[in-house]
Parts: sequence; structure tokens; C-alpha cells
Amino acid sequence: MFKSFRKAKIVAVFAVAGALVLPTTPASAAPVEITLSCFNDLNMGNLLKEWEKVNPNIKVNLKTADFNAHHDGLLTQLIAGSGPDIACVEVGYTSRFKAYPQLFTNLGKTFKANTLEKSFINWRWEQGVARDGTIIGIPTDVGGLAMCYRQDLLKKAGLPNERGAVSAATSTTEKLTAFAQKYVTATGKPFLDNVSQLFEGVSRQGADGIQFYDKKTDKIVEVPQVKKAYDLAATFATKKLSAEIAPWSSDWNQGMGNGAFAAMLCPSWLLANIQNNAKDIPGAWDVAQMPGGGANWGGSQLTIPKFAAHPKQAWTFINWVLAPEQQLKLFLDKGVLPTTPAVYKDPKFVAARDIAYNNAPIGKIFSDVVMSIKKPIYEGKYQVSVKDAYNAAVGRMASGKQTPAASWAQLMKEIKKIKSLS
Amino acid sequence: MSLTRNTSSKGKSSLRAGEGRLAFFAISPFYFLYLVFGIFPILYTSYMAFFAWDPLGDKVFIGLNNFMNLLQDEVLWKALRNTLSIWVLGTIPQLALALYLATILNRNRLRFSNFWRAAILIPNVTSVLAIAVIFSSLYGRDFGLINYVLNIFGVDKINWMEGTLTSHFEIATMIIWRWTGYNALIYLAAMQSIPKELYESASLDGATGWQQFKYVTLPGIRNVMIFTITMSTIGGLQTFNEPYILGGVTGGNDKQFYTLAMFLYEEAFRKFQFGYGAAIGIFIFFCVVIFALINATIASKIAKD
Repeated sequence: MFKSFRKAKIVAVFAVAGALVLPTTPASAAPVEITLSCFNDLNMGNLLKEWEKVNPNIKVNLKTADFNAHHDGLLTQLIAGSGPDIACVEVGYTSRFKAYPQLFTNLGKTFKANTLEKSFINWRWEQGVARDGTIIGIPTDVGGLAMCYRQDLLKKAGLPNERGAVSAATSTTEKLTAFAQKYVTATGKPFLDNVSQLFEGVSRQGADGIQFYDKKTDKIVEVPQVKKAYDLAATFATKKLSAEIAPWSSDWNQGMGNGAFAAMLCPSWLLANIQNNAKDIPGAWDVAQMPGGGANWGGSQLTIPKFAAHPKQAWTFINWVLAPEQQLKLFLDKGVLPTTPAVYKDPKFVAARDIAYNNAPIGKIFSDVVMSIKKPIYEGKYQVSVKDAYNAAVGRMASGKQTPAASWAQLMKEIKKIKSLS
Repeated sequence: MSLTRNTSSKGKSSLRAGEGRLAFFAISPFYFLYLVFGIFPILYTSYMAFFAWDPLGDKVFIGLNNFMNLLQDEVLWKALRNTLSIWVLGTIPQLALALYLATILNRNRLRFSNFWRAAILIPNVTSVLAIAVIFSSLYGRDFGLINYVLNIFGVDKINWMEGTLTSHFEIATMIIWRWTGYNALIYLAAMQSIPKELYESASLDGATGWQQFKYVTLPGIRNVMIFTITMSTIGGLQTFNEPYILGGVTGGNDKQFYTLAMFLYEEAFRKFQFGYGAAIGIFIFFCVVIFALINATIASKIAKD
């Protein structure tokens, strides 16, 4: 009742405003400003500049907020019946929004987005589609997962440092533990940045695409792979194989440049960040395969909220910026991995060598990982809360505040509480 | 007041009544806004607290269930303890420091006094985010300045946000940094309203600086002190920004710096339990009421002395 009344009122206001404005608007298309709200610029800074020249009639206004604040704020905004023209949504948060498809423009119905489907990675496309089939977002990038390591430090420690050799020496999690132990014994310094990233990466390697949620039932479940990741994290923490520097902290950023750790798991979107923080040591970092096999971590979708003021213009922009040509440019510029596999065959993509990463063929490394994935992790409505709880459990154990067993027990209690939510 | 007093003479009263209506009209924008943004949300929140309220789905009346669950939720009591601890650590030094700064700023012989008075408010108007960036790098475990200095004195590296008391300390220092200047200015304004003659006669009577402060300044700003204490209590019970930005939305791995306001935020806006979140809001409201009553009792006692 209340809602429909409010809508009617809004319509009335718009009608009046329209009546006042229309006669004075000139016939020629005046530039329209659309807002793109996101947690960062998705490395698209240069593309946005190019867009200004390509289509001066649609100005894109980028607004950013902190990662969690962006996603939390977006939901509140949408519930209240407003929203930007384009909102980016990271896959970790997508499940939350997919639970409310009515808040988004159905890109399939409205803009025939399904015609684009076949040019995108199949499972990556699905991550932007709600359970009822509403296409809420178009994938911008795909994380993949690899292990970045300091080849110079490994060499000093007398360990293999060539990327093939490192990949072979760390191909399973057991081998990785032994390798890390050797490094720590030789140098007295920690090997990995922190175990929460390790847990996150390894817990995503479940063969059936289950991490915290079962796709069939849409229920929260516990699977062996996640427990295995937790135990691995516990081993790394108790044996002091990791520096325990919190991700996204200032210590973490500095650690990428000062050798506080010799390796870290790296989804492709992290490459630009490492490169930024390791400017003084070009070529020191290199990229090996993810121990234990490929997985995906991260990536975002561009969505058009239901309440966008300029959905058409928003779609024009999305269509351009996520086209394979632009995705290739973004990869060559910032190392962001495209979601359109046609790009992976482009000679420029194949030939790309990253000087910052000891001339590693990052395109090939990451695209091989991405193409090897058959089932992506399925994420449910309370994904974010479940993930928060697991991360906290790993943190309690890693800081020595609780034993691995005690922290796990507390975690199971918290998970039970989340399960009781409707 | 003036309305009732003037109803005796008829001719005047109609005129006054018209004026009164005009006066009410003049102040109505505030009350209108207060109704929309103050009263309505309070009533609506109270209403929501009785429902299992999915923001876009079902709204099921569940009576007092939210409150029953809330009072049995150990997270609530942890959040309350954290909130009070951060409030004590952040407020008492803050107000003492503000008082001290205000006395310095109030000195007649202080040079560039206007500059200092303006400068002291800068931390309050600086973006919280910018301050948080600086604080979190100061308190960095491995490369932070504070640990570096402590290390010189032989103290081991402290992982500030990981510990309970240390994280409260870090958050409290940021609160102190932000709000000391603001309170100092309020104290200063109160001090300047104390007549100069009082100080003159006190010094003629041979009162020392400390005695002047104790017997002239303090009684003169008592009301303002009660105001600042009450305001910082309300602010303290709603502490959210500092722990959120310094340590993250989850309030720490063991919820060691999880405050009441963060609890509300997480339940309502990260788990979409709007009804439960509303119940937490009402809990915070009653906490504020209790503390305000305690403040008022103490204040009236002081006033009698």
C-alpha cells in the first residue's frame, strides 16, 4: 500500500517535472551524465578517458566507496527505491543481489543481453544470472588464481626459482608446505603473506563447485575441501610459515616491496596492486601455478539498477566497455583478465610478457587456469556472512588467540546461527 | 508563556494569537523536518522490531521474539562491553584534555590565539577516512611508527587491532584525536562567558592559578561540562566509524572491537535482519536513556552542592 502510494507520488513528481522541463529542452541530444558506482575504478581509468572521445554525449561519472561500504550501501539504496545508473557488484557479493532480482533491470528482457552470452566464459556469465533467470549483470573480469612469488628471494634461499620448477615443486598443498618449510629454514623469514588468503584460495578448489553453499539445495553446507584448507592454514600458522600480515593493511602493501614474505596467492586483479607496491624491484616477482590446481577468485559484474535514471545510456556504455576490444586493452594496460575467451587467442594477448613479473606470460598462465574451470563456486544469499565467519575463525587461530580446534568449534556455532536465518 | 499571559485583554489577545500563529509557522520547518527525520523513524523502528522483516520479502509479526533472542545473544553483551570500554578509554582523557586545552586557549597573553582556536578544530573537520589511514599506518604491526618507538624501549611488536584492550586503545586514541578540539572549543566559549571581575577579585584575595581554576572556572562552566559529558555518552554508545574503518566491518576475528552500532549495522544491512536490527536500535536507545538519567542525577547533585 505504502509502497505503491510512494511510487505514484514519485511518478506524479516526475510528470510535473517533465511537463516543466520538456518544452524548453532543445531537440538535439544534450550530453547525458550517468553515474557508475563501484568499490574502485576496476582499473578502467584509461578506458573511461577513451570513452569521453568515443561518445561525448554520455558522460560517465565514477563514484567509489570502500569495498564493503559500496555493497552494503548499494543494497540500502536499492531497497529505498533509488540507485546509480550502473553499479558494479563483485562476485563475492553477487549472491546477495541475485536474491533480489526485482531490484535490477533484467538485461536479457530489456536489452537482449542473451545475444552476448556466447561470447563470454560460460560459467562466468552464469554468475551474473539470478536463479529465476534474470540477467542482472555482465561480467567485467575474471580472477583466476595463481601463486606470485619472489624469484630473487627463492634463489637466495637456494630453492628453485624458475616458474616451471616452482610450479612443479609446489603442485600439491603438501609439497607447498614442504617447500615453504625449506625457505623458512634457509632464511629464517616467513614464506607466505598470511594464511587467510591461503585459506580463501584453497577452499575454492572443491571439484564440485561447492565452497560454502550447495547449488542444488541452496543451503549452507560443510565440505571436506574447506576443512582441508583450514587445516592447511593451521599448519602454516603453527609452523610460522606465514608472515601473518593482514590483507589490504599498510604492512601488506609495504611487504610486497620489502621482502617481508616471498609468496602470495594472486588472482589476476591483484597483479596491478603488487606491481604498484613493488615498483623499486621490477622483475623480482614471478607467477607460478596455484598449488593444488586452478580455481577462480573474484571478478565483478556491471549491473543496471531498476531505478537507474538513464538505463539506455548505461547499457550503451556497458556494451562498449565490456566488448572484447576494450577488454583486451584493459588486459594490456593493467593485467585485468578478460571474460571474453576470444581475446585469449589474440596474438597481442598471447605475446604479452610482463616485465614487472620477470617477463612472465601472465595472459597464458591465467587464461589456462580460467579455461580449466568447469564449475565455479556457487554462492548463496548469506555468502558474505558465512565468509566473514570463516575468515574470523582463520584469524583467531592464526594469531594464536585460540587453538585451531577451539576456533573451529566457535565457527561451527556461528555457522549454525547463520543457517537459522531465513 | 506570553500567549497565556495576554489572554486577559480581548483586543490584544486576537492580535497576539495571530502573531503566535505566525511564530509557530516560522518555527514549523524545524518541527516538520523533525517529524519526518526524527519522530517517524523512531516510531517505525519500534514497529519493525516486532517483525521478522525481510526488506523486500515477507514481514511476519513475531511479537517479542526479537527482543528475547537479542537478550540471549552473547554477541550483544560482548558488543556492550566493548562499547563501554572504548567509551571510557576515549571519553575521560578526551574531556580532561579538552579542559586543559581550553584553559590554555583562554589565557589573555596567548599569542595568535585566533589561529590556535581555529587549528584545534581541524581534526574534527578532517575526513574520517584520511585520519584512519594515518592512524592505521601509525599502529601498523610491522612498520608502524608506534611499534618502532616502543621497540627502542625493548617492547615487542604489538598487533594492535588483534588484542581486545589494545584495539580499544587504538580506537579510543582516534576518537580523542577527533573530538578533543571540539569539546575544547565548547569549554572555551563557556569560560569566556565568566565575568573577568570574578578572576580579578579572586586574585586580589590572593587566590593562586589553581584555586582560581577550581573555584571560579569550574563552577562557571559546570552546565557546559554536563552537556559535553551527556553528548559524548550518546556519541560513545553509537561508536561506529572508527572501529569500522580501522578494523573492518566484522569487528575483529574474536569480535574484540565489535560495538553496538556495528552489531546493528551487520544484522540489518549485511544479514538483512531488519527486525532484529531494529530491536538492537531500541536496546541502544534504552542504554542512552539509562546513561542520560545517571548523568542527570549526578548533575543535579553537583548543582545542589
